[in-house]
Amino acid sequence: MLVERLPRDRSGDELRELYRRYAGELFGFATSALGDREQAEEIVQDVFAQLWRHAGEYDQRRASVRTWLYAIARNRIVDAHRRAAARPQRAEDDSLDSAAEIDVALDQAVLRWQITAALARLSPAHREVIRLAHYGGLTMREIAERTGIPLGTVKSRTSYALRSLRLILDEMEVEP
Amino acid sequence: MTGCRSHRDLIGPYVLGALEPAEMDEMTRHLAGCDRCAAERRRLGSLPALLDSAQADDTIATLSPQLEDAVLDRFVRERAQAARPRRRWRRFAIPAAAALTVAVVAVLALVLPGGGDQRAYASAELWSTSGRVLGNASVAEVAGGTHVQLRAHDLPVGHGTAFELWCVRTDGRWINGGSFNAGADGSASAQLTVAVRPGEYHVVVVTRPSAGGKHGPEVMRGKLAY
Repeated sequence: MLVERLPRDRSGDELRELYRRYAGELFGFATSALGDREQAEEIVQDVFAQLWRHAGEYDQRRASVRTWLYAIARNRIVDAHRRAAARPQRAEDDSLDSAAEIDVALDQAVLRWQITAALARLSPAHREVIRLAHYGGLTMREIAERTGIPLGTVKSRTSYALRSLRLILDEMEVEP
Repeated sequence: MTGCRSHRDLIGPYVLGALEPAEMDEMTRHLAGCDRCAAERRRLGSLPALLDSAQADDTIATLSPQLEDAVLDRFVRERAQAARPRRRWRRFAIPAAAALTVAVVAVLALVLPGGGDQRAYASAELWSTSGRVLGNASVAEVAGGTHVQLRAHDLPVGHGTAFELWCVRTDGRWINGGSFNAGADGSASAQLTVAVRPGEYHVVVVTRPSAGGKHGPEVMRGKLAY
């Protein structure tokens, strides 16, 4: 297991592999939660610093690597929100105050990132019919007229797109 | 389970509410009597609410390549510090002529002084933009990266004594090797650790400090001879 080998990692290869597996989604999560790319990059750096410093304490029976990394990221994001809340607030400042608010915001951020990531994994044709039908509010007939694709194809494509999306979300362990 | 043959292509549009009113009514009646389609409808039924969690124009934030370098660089530095007693940067206030002599000797030498378990891989003369040799760099392998020993003289300190070392990878990316300070006489000696491996870069550059996410003006550079 990569994390267990990390304390003896002299080459940096184990860390590189862990970074390539998890950094993207952690960054997406942090960006979604904080709305700030620079802060999100700091969070990712901190998460990996914690990872190699405490790799020896990791117990796979308690949590998966992914869950562990998300927990570290979550703590860092909560800290960032608290720091923002401690600053003198301007009238337009929408910093989160309570732990409950932060929890809700983080759950929403995770879900938002997961859905965005799942949509990104669809084929462009499948993503487009979902975009037009769900976000654009168009009917199948209107999509067919707009795109010039036969109505039957639009309907079947929409069904395939949703099935694919459901499978991707199942893989990502997003609850129905 | 994907619904029955006659209606399976309508389940997705139905779930999204994207059928014409008459089709929606017809599908509702069908679902009441078709277990296969009803099961598929239940399976897909939560998707509209999930889709509402995101926006149509949401995009996946992509990582900058520099972040991986920064993470690995931090890792290498911490590992290097943990592996041996931390050395304080030593500043040598030596006359320029003496420094030049040392520089020439160091370029010829392939073993780092006091390197212990390190092995020198390459060295380079560092040339100013006006064509003067201002120093040299020797490179040795350490865990996960390389250790650069830098010596310089006559650095232009009129606008500050702080400088940064960069290793330019073969793909053109600049990897930061840390900063160092020159003495008031422009001489400097620094040992820095960089998160790139021997052979991954061939050019060493010294610049003024970075600002606004960009490296500062170039002071000197050299091509490593492996």
